[in-house]
Amino acid sequence: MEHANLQVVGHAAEELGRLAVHHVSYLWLIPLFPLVGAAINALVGWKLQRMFGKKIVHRIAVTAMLAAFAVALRAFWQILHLPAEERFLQDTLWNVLTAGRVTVDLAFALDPLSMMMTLVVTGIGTLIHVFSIGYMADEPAYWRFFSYLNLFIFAMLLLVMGDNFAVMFFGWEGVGLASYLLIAFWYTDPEKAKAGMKAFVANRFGDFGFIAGLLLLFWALGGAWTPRDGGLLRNTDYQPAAELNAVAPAATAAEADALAPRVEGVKVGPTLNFRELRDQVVIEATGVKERLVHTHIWGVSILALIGILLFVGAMGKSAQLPLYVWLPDAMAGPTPVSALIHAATMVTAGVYMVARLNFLFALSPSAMGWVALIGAATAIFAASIGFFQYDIKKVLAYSTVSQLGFMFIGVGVGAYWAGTYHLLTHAFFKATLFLGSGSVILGCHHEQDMRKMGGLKKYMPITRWTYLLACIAIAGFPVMNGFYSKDEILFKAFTSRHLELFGVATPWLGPAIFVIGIVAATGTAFYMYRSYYMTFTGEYRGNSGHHDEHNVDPHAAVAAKSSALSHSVHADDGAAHAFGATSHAPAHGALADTPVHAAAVHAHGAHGHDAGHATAHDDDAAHGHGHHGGTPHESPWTMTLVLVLLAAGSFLTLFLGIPTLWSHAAPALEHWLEPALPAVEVASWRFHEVPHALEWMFQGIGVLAATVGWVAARALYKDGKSEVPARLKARFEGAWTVVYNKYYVDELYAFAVLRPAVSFARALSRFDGTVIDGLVNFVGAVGRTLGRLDAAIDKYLVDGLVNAVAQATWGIGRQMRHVQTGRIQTYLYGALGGALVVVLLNFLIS
Amino acid sequence: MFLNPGNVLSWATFFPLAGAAAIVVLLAVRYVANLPKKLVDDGARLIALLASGLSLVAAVAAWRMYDPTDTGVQLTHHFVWIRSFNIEYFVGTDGLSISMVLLSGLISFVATIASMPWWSGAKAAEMAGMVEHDHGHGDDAHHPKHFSVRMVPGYMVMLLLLQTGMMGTFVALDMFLFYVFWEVMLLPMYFLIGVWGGPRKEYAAIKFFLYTLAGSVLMLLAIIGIYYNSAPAMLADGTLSSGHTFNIIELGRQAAKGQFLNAAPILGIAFTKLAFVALFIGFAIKIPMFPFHTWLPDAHVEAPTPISVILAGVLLKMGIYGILRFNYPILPDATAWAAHAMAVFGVINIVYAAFVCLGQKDLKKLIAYSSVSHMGFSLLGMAAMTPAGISGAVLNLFTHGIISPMLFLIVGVIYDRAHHREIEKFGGLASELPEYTAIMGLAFFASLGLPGLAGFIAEFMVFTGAFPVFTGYTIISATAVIITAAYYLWAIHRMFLGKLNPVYKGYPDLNWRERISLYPLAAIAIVLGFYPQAILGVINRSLHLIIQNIRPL
Amino acid sequence: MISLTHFLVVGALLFTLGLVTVATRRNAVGILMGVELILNGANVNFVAFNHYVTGGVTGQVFALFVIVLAAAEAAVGLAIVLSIFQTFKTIDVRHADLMRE
Repeated sequence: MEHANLQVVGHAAEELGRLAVHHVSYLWLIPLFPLVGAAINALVGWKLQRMFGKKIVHRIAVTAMLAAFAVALRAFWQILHLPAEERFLQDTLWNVLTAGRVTVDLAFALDPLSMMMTLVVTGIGTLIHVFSIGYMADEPAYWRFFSYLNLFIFAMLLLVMGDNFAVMFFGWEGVGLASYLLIAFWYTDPEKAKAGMKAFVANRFGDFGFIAGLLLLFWALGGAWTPRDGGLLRNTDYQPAAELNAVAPAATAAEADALAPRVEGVKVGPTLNFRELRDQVVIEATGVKERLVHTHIWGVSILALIGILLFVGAMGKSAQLPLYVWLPDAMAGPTPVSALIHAATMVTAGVYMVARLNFLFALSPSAMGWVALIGAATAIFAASIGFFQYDIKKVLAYSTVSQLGFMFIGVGVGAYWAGTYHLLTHAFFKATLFLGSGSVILGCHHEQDMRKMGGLKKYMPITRWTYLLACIAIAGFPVMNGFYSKDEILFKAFTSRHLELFGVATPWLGPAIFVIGIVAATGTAFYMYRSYYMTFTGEYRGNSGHHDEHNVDPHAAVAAKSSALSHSVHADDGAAHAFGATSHAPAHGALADTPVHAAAVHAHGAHGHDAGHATAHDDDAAHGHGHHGGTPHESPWTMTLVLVLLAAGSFLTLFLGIPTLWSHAAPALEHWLEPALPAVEVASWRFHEVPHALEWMFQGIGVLAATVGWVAARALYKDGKSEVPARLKARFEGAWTVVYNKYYVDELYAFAVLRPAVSFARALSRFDGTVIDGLVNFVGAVGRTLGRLDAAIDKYLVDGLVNAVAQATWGIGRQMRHVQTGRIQTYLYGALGGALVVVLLNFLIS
Repeated sequence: MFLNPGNVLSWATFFPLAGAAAIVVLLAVRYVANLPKKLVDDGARLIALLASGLSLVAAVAAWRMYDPTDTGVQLTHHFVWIRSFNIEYFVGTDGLSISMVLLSGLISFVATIASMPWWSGAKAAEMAGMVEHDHGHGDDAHHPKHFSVRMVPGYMVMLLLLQTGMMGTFVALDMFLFYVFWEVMLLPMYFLIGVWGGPRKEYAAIKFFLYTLAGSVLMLLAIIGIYYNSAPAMLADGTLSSGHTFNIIELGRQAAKGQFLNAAPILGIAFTKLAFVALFIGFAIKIPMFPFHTWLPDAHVEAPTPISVILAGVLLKMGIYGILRFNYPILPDATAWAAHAMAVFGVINIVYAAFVCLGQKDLKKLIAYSSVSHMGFSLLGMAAMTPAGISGAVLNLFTHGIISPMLFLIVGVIYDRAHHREIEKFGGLASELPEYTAIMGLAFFASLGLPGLAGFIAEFMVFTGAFPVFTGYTIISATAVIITAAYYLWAIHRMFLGKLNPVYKGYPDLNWRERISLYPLAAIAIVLGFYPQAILGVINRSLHLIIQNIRPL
Repeated sequence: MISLTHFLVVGALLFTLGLVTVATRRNAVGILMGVELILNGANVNFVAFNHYVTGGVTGQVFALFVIVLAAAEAAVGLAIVLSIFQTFKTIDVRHADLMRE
């Protein structure tokens, strides 16, 4: 056996085999439809919108989503009918690149985990597209919005369906781009544009970690780092295992495949492919697991380093400490975007990534410890900020950060299915909450401050009920889905004794995280109910006080010349819109009348494209856009329908997670995900066993925490009557200010990272302009000086000599000319003199 | 078929030269027949378009004829040129140069299009009734000072000469011929910057010329040194050369047998190392490598747009190309000796230039420095001498050769309209120029390495290839992904987002000339983002052969 | 007895007087006269040497030639003097220094 040295006698070699792969040829359609939708709307959307109205734009987008969802369901159907161990659909399109050992296919794969994600993305994505029809009805750049939204879905599908790291990273960055575009959707507002930039750059910090972790993993598979000379930068101590690094470099995919070494039919060595990675790690006979566990680089276990670096990527995308700062700012985007990207799908990508690599994380308790610890810290930190925010979307944003922390506790302690389940339940209830807040914001004429809401249950019954149900879910009462996932996570956290930090076993970490989690859960219940009571109970406070936040109004903010589409100018203060032959819908003015009318208008989302009609509405529009006064109103049916469906989903998904304690069977989702989560078989640790009675007690504690939070919020904020909050605020002014200002983390970053970086850049720029370029110019100047010197020598020495000869000749001639008088007699003297000389000489010589 | 494997590269090289000759003839006719200036100008433009178009056709034909499975030199055209010095006319291509031939043809053509004052936005806007002419801004192509209407025949002759020089440099396989083309390329560049450039054109042109000429001198010395240390070789007509050879391929073969290791040391330093350093500095100036990079921002800032396009798109590639063509095969041992230094310089290029970008106020300078940063990836990748590293390095040449011309065209668009490039002075342009903003966003994101666009793939491959060899350096250079994103997004933020600066109201969006030059590049950037194997599959084998002879120390 | 030496002395005197006249006179006509004296000094020598040394008529013939030549010379010289006078309005040779140029 040529790879004998790789063989390690495993104690459980037979436990897991290679993944059985079913090749299908339609998976690419799932991301294709949103891509086509995005492309159509991006390239000709504005034309279509002008010609056929807004209807055509959202029809294209929603149709693309429905088609993707339908194909996803088809795949789900197929996967459902396969035996549990064979649930893996794969579809390769083409080879993206091959060079040496690096080979990347554009390929999609669906296993139970990614299938779940795909259904969430396409399903909830479709619903949010429908919601946006009503929410964005007044937006002139309607086509742009839907194009971005479809683009996001495309990228998200790449992320979850990618068969390898590269495709996942394509999606990973693609969603970042879509997020950037959508946060900065109303780009004329510099603050919103800045929020988009912040999101992208903060994510890039994460991507840096992701790339570093990915590279480390890739090469760790193909060799070993052994400490040799302690060289830190030039890593001379990387020892490629010759048999794992094909000597001949591959130039094409087929070559790469042929050259890859195999142990017992399993491809081993560097790979970017999830399935090949999983196979070689989980199949003990390959010895890859042993090698990885025992490899160290720079004195650290390489698996811990890989895990932590990859988690840094997740920190960025999933807004964990310390990279969470972009998510609250991301609320600058339209509310459906917040629901879709910044709650339900994109921000869970980090959780998904950790779950997808469960078999790697499970091998490194150190990495797990860090993931869980950061998750717990984020959960409580963000929850505490959520306490005192007044902007309803900010509350939800911090809540999202906090809930993502819970998910990371789940995947961190090794309860992968629980973390994933919380991802699913959170997607439903948080989407409901966000869309509910969107409905409220629209109903209150783009008001986001909860202090100016209140009493909305009278005006917006459907929104109110769905929002309340979602609150129940997130608070963790057993009637909705949130309880089941959160409870499972915290229970698993308590029973984990295997976590490590810095390679040191920390059995106390699990219980500690449990305690933190319970506190955070109490806080969650409190601030969510606070937001509910402030918004929906008491008296409507919107008519008093004046509205100066026009900058949150999308209509006023967008002075959009959406590609020559609407050339008319929107007055800044929103008081008067110039309705020429533009496509801007004045629907908002009409909205203020009656809910019924409003619904009708919104149902015809593209109402206003008709120029004649628009002119007829001029008067309405003029005062309607002032947004002063007017009672709140329920949103159109497209929006409430979506709310109801999502709330229903928040209820129904609870059946996926009925605990074993109740039903004596594994929860449905755990069972479903099992083939995709081989961590349990790979890991050397197990969850601590606790008696059933204790388990009941934990569930009781969870409900108690929710109740405490709810009761406190009810006492303080119901109907807005209690004076206690104001008194408390006055009493603890200092602490309140710090928390209200988010612990000044943004300011800290600006001070510690941003400004030094920019100053450094400026300094380097000056250095380059003065020192480096100065050196060049100095060399030039030296050259010039030498040249001048040379010229002087040439002029005065060399040329001087020549001139001296000429000068002498000329001088002599000048003197001699005096002899020539022109008088014959002078010459005659000469001749006589000469003769005399001759005569004298004659005498002298003889 | 008119173009056949034996002459296609020669055609690609000399079509532009023929065009230049035709323009000279046209000028002569002008004086004889007293033709009007406009006719001559348009004639020169047409000839230039035609000539560089034909050159592109020949380059594409060469690309199609190239057989990727054959690692040897292909499409050769070979005969003895100067017998007494064993100098031959020897052109041909392998995996290293074939992508550069294609790139050179493409970018030359795009630059020629961008040199035309036609399809101006002013006319289009006039037709659309959008712009009042009194205001004077808008497309400036008809402004008498604009480079595209000043001394047109001269400009076109220089442009075509430059194209011949570039193409010749990439296909020459005789050292002497290479040097001739290298210098042929230099002179027109000097005039193009010095005559048709911006306010400080003389300074920039002189700086460019002297800097690169200093490099060429070192290169020439090294070439002569290598020549006199080489063994005899067969000439094209089957006779044995007298004493030595200029044939690069043959020199590589001799080097593999250790021909230059025994050469007499100079001043106590091994000949191979000295020759390596001399050649390397000559090429490093062209890359441009820190600290030899300062000519680049000046040259770019002063050069007219199409010249910036060529400078960034093709000329910068010659540094890396030359190192891979000369240093790697002919001086393999010295290359292994210098690999570490190359990696260090690569990292400095990447990170240093990225930070300098962050501090720039001039958009064109920002993009010029971003080129410096991106060429660092090539240095790092090829220093690693892994298959992925070197393939990534050459792919980076190609993708950067697609993306940076886009960036410079984009700068040209706004400069033609606003007559300045100060980032801070813009603001909110997205509201006024949506199409321009979209294409700019695409180019910026491609350049900052967004997956799905061309730039990412090369970066990724370089990282992957360099990581096991230079782990720490690779991690340091990966921080550039953050800085790069920061400076591009910040530039977008300051220029395009926010409230529209009223000064820029009524500016026309892209015109057709700009579209024709930008969209094909954008399409290539997207396609290569998802299917870089189209390039890699062709170049991989030859490149992997290059590094096989180098045994890392 | 009058010997050759006497003739030669006369000839030399004539010649010297003529030479001094040519060298020192400022009047162009005087210079011409000096030239005549020089020529006649030579004539005396010719005739004396013919009579005392060689015999025959060769010397006399030469003397005749010189007389003819002197006549021609006087004619040309006077013409030049006239020309000088017309140019310089004087016959003072110190002013006739155009040859210096």
